[in-house]
Amino acid sequence: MNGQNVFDRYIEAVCSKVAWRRAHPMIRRELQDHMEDQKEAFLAAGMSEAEAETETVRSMGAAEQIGMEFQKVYQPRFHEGMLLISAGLLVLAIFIRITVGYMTAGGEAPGSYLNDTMMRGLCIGIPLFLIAYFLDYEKAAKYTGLLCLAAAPYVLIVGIWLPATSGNVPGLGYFALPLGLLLPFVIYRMKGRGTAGIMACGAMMLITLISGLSQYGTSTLVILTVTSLAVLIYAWFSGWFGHIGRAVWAVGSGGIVAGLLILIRYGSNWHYFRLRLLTTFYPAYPGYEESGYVTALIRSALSQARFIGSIPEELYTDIPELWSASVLTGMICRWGWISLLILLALTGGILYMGYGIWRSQKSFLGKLLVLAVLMLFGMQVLMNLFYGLGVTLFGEFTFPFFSGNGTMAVNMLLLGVLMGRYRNSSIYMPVCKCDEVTAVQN
Amino acid sequence: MIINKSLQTGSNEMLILQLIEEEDRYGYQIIETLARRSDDTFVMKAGTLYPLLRGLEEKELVESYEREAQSGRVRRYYRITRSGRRYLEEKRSEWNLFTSKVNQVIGGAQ
Repeated sequence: MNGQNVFDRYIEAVCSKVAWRRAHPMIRRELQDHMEDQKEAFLAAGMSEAEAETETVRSMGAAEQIGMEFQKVYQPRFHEGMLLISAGLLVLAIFIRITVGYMTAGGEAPGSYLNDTMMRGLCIGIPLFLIAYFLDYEKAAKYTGLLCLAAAPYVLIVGIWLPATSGNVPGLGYFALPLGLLLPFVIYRMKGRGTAGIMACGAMMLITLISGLSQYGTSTLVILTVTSLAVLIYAWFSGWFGHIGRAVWAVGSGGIVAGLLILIRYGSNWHYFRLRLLTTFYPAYPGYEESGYVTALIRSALSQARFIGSIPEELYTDIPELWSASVLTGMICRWGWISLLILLALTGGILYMGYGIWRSQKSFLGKLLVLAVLMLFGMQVLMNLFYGLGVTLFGEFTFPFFSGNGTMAVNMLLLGVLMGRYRNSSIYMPVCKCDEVTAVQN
Repeated sequence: MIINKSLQTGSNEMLILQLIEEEDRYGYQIIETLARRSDDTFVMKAGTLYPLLRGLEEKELVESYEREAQSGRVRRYYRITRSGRRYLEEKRSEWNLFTSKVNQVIGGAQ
């Protein structure tokens, strides 16, 4: 009788009692290793091959009983806290858009518009959430090349369209954000490739950033840059790429710093101006839109805002895009600064719980993906916070869940990734060769 | 002498944590060390150990990682966490109190 078959049959009998199929590879591998060790010990003690196998299986205990014990401890995790706090943010977003959004631009954004965009965002967002929640990321990592290929048409369209429209392709920016989730897959596949690995990831990052250029004001570019840099630097400093020569360290670090400076100085027609605007904080320069005029309106309105309660509508309803990018300003004017504190508490809660999810990840891919999600989410919050408070260094960007279409769908996807990673965080699946020996331990 | 199973069941967690606290170990090593150190009194079955380890990991008392062992085979090692150390300390005190009181009673009867 072949020992492998005896062991396989035993392990299959154990796994048949465990309903959560994703846990099977982990159980299988651990039991297999144990049985091999035990068999070797019996062989060393003088038993024959057949005796050693029989005795090994006997020493394991009844397969059915073990299977039932495993069934008790192998269950997918569900993060109720994350779901509750995200639902809280969504409810607040709907409430604010109903109470603030109707005031916009003399009724140009009526309730039907609000409902349409919200419903559209949710209709796209919920399936995205479910896909991200149930996706087997380690398996998906095997098809990283295909994932990149699937994103290529979008990058190409943006790359060709972009010059023709002087970088102004409204709305496309939101759909560029999920591209920030591709880099973790590429990094994951580049384990131990040294300088070549980091160069390939850097190239992938640049391709992603081309898509970030699609949004006017380049806030998407900034979000994607910071996110990509965060995951790349994390992998780099964790030693994921293996040996990196000193010259690459120097050129790479210098390149990152130089790139950031170039981004701020030349990334957009307005960055340099905005930087000056930031240093001469108040009063803002009142000119045409996007040159400080909106900023001036926002600051002027906020200077009147109360801690609790509203200020007269005429003080803030002239602010453009009160139903999307400026909704934070409208919210503070309508409900007081306390509403901002509530909003920050909710988003802080999401980020804090997200950090817990990041810590719970056993797979390096999980660490990279959760880090990317947290950076994408956190940067959106920061971008809108800057804009809504009249410190517009990088153009407008909506607050997560507060706008209808793109941002709603994208953030539902990000939430799905977070919850999906937490769901499987208790199991460690050596599906990809990259994870066979974990180089990075925290 | 054969020890009542229920006596061992209650202390399994403590025994495992104690061995992992000394050094990071993999499953087979834990069973082997436990048996050796107890003169084959505590012979734990793999079917008992792995669900227990899994439960400890869920409670964040231990964490696992993969490492290449000296034999060249990649194994899942377990290491104790900070809360695992605290938990073990509590269990040790509890056990010491329990055994001292049992001894007190038994001694008193003699």
